[in-house]
Amino acid sequence: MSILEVKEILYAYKNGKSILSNINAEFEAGKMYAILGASGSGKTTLLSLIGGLDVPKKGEILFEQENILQRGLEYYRCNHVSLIFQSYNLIDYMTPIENAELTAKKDVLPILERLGLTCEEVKRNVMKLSGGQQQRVAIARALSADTPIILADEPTGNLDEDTAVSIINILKESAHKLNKCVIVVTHSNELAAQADIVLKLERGNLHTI
Amino acid sequence: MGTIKRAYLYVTRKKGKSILLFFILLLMATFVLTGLSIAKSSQEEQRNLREVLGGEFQIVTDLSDNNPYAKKTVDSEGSVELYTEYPITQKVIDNVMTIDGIKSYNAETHTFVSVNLDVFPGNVPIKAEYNNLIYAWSVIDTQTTNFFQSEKFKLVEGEHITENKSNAAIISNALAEKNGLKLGDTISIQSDSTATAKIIGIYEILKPDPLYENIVTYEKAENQIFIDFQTLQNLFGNIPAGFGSVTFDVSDPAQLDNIISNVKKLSTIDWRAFEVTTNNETYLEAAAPLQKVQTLVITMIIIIVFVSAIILSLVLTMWGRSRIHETGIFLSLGIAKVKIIGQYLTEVLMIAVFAFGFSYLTSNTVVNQLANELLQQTASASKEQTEIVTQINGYSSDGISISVKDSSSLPDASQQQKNNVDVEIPAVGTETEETQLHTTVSTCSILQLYIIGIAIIIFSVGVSTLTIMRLKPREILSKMS
Ligand SMILES: Nc1ncnc2c1ncn2[C@@H]1O[C@H](COP(=O)(O)OP(=O)(O)OP(=O)(O)O)[C@@H](O)[C@H]1O
Ligand SMILES: [Mg+2]
Repeated sequence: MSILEVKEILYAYKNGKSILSNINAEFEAGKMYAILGASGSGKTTLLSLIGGLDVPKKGEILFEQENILQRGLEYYRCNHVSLIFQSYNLIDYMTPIENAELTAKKDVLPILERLGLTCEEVKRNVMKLSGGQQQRVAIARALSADTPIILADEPTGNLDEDTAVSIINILKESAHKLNKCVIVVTHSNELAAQADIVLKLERGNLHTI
Repeated sequence: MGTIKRAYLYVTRKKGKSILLFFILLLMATFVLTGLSIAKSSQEEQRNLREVLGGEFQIVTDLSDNNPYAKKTVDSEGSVELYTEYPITQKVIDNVMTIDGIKSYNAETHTFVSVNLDVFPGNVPIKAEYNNLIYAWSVIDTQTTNFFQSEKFKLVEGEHITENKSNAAIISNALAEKNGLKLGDTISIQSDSTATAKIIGIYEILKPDPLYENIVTYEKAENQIFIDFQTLQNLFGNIPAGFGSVTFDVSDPAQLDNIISNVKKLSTIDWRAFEVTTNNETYLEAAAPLQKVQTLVITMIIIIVFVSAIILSLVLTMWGRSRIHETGIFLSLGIAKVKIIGQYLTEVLMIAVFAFGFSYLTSNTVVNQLANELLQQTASASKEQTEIVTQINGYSSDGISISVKDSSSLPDASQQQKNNVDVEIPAVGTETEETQLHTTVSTCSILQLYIIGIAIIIFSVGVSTLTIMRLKPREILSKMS
């Protein structure tokens, strides 16, 4: 059974240009999804709708059969979905521990350590970590928030190939071992190949390949 | 992580900003607190001034044709006597005293009498017929007379004349000795009629008359006698005895007009018989420079508050722009907007608690100098006022009555006591250091500062987060990338 369902979504920016027209999709827990698509095709836009950062002009997004607007987007973002960005989006005056603790519902230290951060690194200012380490902190934050859905927008965009692979593996493991529904937007076909299901966004429509 | 923890982390990690904000808030608080303190002290000075000056009004028997009770008699020798059939009696006084705000009264009357005693002759030659006349003071309570209040006289034997006494007299120990009298002896007093009174008290003269001064018989300290009201009535015969005038003291001269108008509304008194006179000009003139300071300072506080709010809003808005990213992240993490604004507010408040506290020190040092300068500027505007205030200053430090009265009426008990209390009065330019407007920062002012300061901070944080908070989280996040 699907944990997340996207129904007949339509989205256009204020300038009127339609970005998404009639998107339909279902996402299940325990699986990793990859979304491919040309630059400007609307991947980020779609992810921000699924992430509850914006509302579609038409259609609805259902979390466990319930429209996410029902309990409010703030509640949805807080309890059901975590976002991981290309630019990490960490709070620059906090340590990795504190960043993870922002929304943590469980102990953050084991998670950070499992993702390969040392005892010293977790207490350093996040800005003094490498890009790969920062993205691990962002993933640790998503995992410690303990939400069933994790959305990642080009999480490896700023990272070298090896690091990118390890990050994707972490996300994949999260889906398989922690039973998360992971949706990753990427440009890389190689990384997309790691996903259980690959989707492509083209001309405002989403379809499986 | 809670709102307060986030705010704490921001404040402690972004030290530069925190320190800058601390100084901005300190400056703001110093200005506000200084203003508040000056306002408060000038308010207090006004109150002190009012208390020290007091206020008074007099009820005087009207002997003109306007008074239907006024009578005129001409005796066989052709001398004219004016009197009233409706004098100021204790009943009239009691009625007036029912009005709120009247602290005390001073009712006394003196009359020429001759006594069957050997008196101390004065050293001024006067008409023979006056040589044996002395003053008999009639009062409700001898303790309240100026003689005893000012400790010129002191009762050494017996008791004071109080309200319920009749046929009672108090004389000096000198007069008693000279005439071989003691407590319980009877003297005969003569005026229109003759009355007898028993000596119930003997006083000693603590401050004798100046040695080489010219004094008439009836003014000599040794010759003063005190009699009760009933005895006075006996002396008057058929003419109703009463007080010529009574002085009422009010504690707050600012209320004087009010009190008088209430007094005049008393239906139990026929006001055709009396006149009510007053004078609170001294108070009004003395209070004027302080009033000006007050107005000036309040205007200043309002300006300071406005300027502070604008500056703080600008600074926070500027910093808020650099925090759009952070705001977007918090929103994307599902942290509620209220909690984000709460964090920004808490940050400023955390620093403000210290800045406001510290402003106690800075303000205290600023306050005194500024206060005096202000007062000097304002007061020097009017030389006349300056003189009045300075004059009051001089009086008060000498412990002399400062109420302005007719020379005949004298300060009563409470007024005397008041003058012993060390009350500071503002100096105006001409005085020495010890008479400066004494201003300190009080707990009350600090409390006001916190209230005003927190209001400014809430306003400024509100303004600075307004633009951010209207945006959708996606817009914020896309703005930053
Ligand atoms: N705030 C905005 N206002 C107007 N148009 C926008 C806005 N954000 C994005 N767009 C437009 O919407 C379209 C989709 O943008 P989006 O960021 O979703 O693409 P994308 O698939 O994520 O591209 P990329 O792979 O380069 O990140 C683009 O044409 C873009 O110009
Ligand atoms: Mg994108």
